[in-house]
Amino acid sequence: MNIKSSQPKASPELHEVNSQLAAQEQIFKLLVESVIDYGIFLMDPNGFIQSWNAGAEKIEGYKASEIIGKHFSIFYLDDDIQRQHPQYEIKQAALHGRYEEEGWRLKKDKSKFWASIVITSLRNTEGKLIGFAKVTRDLTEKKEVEMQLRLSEERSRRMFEGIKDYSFITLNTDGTVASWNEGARRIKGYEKEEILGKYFSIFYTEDDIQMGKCEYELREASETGRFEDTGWRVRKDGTKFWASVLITAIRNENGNIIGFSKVTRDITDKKRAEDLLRMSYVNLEKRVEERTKEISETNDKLQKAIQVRDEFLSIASHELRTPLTPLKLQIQSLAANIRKKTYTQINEDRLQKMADTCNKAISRLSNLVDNLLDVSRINSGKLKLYFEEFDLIELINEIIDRHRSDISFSKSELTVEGPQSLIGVFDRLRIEQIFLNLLTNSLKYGKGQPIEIKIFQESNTVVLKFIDRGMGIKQEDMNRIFERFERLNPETAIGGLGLGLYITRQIVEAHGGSIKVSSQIDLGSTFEVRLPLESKS
Amino acid sequence: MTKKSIFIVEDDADIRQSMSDILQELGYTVGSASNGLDALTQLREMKEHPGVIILDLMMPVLDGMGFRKEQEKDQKLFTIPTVLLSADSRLPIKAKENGFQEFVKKPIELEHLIAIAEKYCG
Repeated sequence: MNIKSSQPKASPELHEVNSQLAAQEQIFKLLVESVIDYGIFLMDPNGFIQSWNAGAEKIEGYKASEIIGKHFSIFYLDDDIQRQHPQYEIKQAALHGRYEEEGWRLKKDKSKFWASIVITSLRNTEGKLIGFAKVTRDLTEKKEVEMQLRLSEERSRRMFEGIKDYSFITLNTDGTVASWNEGARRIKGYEKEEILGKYFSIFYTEDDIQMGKCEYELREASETGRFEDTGWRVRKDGTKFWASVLITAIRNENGNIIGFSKVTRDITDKKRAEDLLRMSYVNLEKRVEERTKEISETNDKLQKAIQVRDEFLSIASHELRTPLTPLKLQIQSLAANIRKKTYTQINEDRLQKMADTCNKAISRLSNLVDNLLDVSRINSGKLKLYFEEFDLIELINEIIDRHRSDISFSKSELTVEGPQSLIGVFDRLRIEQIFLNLLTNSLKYGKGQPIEIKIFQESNTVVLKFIDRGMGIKQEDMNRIFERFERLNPETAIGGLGLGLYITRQIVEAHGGSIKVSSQIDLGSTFEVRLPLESKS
Repeated sequence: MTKKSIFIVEDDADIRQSMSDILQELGYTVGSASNGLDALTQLREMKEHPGVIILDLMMPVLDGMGFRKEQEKDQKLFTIPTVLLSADSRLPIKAKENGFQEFVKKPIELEHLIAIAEKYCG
């Protein structure tokens, strides 16, 4: 194609030059026509297509015969044609020499392709516009990849921004905040606008900052690729939260660090639950320990109770056998005399003595059995009281009269001090029992020294005091004398089941009263019983 | 032949009295004490020792075991045969441990009492 105006005169040299030029032009034309990756064609100054190469045919789909002579707007979308974009392009090319752009174009089959075009104006030596050359490249594939990439980036950005439960942020290499998501806003409380560009130590406690933790974390992430941590972090409002943090270094294709991503989760609730769990575990351990101790203590108590019971059984058996001994001897002696027919020789005094001994032994036995039954009743809560109104002084005088011989046998001088009469509501038999118990105790432990009984009224209460000057009770024994099966000073071995004071206290308390003792060793003891005048069942 | 005397150490007055009465009726001389200490005092003062001591285990002041220890230390008293008398369920063990010739469990049978008296005192 001749793109230059021809010379008016031709010389042989010129002809030679011209033929060389024509040859080059021919080679160039062939080159252009054979290029298949670029659509290259010429247009006249109005945009009508004048040539067509293989690349153009491949890209646009038209054969040369179909397209030459057509206006190049055939490649444009309706919208572009409407706004006269093809005309604009060639106008720009004419104006500036070239026009370049990327945009959607149409193929012959009306499918779109992303084109990169360059339109160059062609002028003759006089500078007159003689046409345009247009080079078109199909960049659809590249465009699609780009679009996919942009779409995927956009998706990721939206995803990260939208995540509410995780703080996803990026840091610049210097540790300043580069991006901020919804989760970060929710967890840390900062708005995007106020936090971008701030150094990320703002999320750390004062102590951590002092220790250089922030710098350490970035250094670790840089060196090993990632840094993971759980610890206290600080919100905008100054409150702390227990955070799980992962910092990852971001590198470009050359391997240089271009920033960091930082994922933070608020796991305060989890930590609290864990703490609670740990605490409840510790508590549980403590409780198990306490329970074990309790059980061990209960076991000890049980062992002690068994020991006490065994001792009691041993004492009870001993005590029951003691009166059985004279009883047996006397009866067997009588029986032997009867067998040998010598009983008539036994004088009356001796017989009387034998009968008295047997009687006494039987009384002792029945008394022991009564006590055992009382303890059994008390233990099973079946101690019943039968209340009646009577004169306490009258009863006491009666009891003392009945036990004159025991009193005189003890050698203790007994004085009773009280009003003429004192009428109240009590269980008569039980009151007799406790009075007798305390009196017997005084006689038994009183060492023959004088014994005083004082009876008086204090408002609605009757007070009975038994004062002896006997052996007394050790301080450490004062509390246990009212317990079951307790008998003081086994070495003194004064007989008895050790139930008297226990039963006495139970009866007194069943009357709504109380009993206490004061004592000094070798100086004697005072037992004080207080009973309400009108006991209620 | 004169019978040897019998010495009873027993805190329970009824038992002491019953045994004394019966043995006396059988012609024995009977001495008695209500505790170990009283027994030791009486026995040490005696010109002629009894043929047998019947000793209760549980007594105030000085019990049967305490008496036995003192008795073992005393060459004269040690030779007197001593029978342990008790309602203690572990009596056989206690008797053996403390070197008693014989023991009798309460309540004692009349025949057993007579047998002891005859064995040691004729």
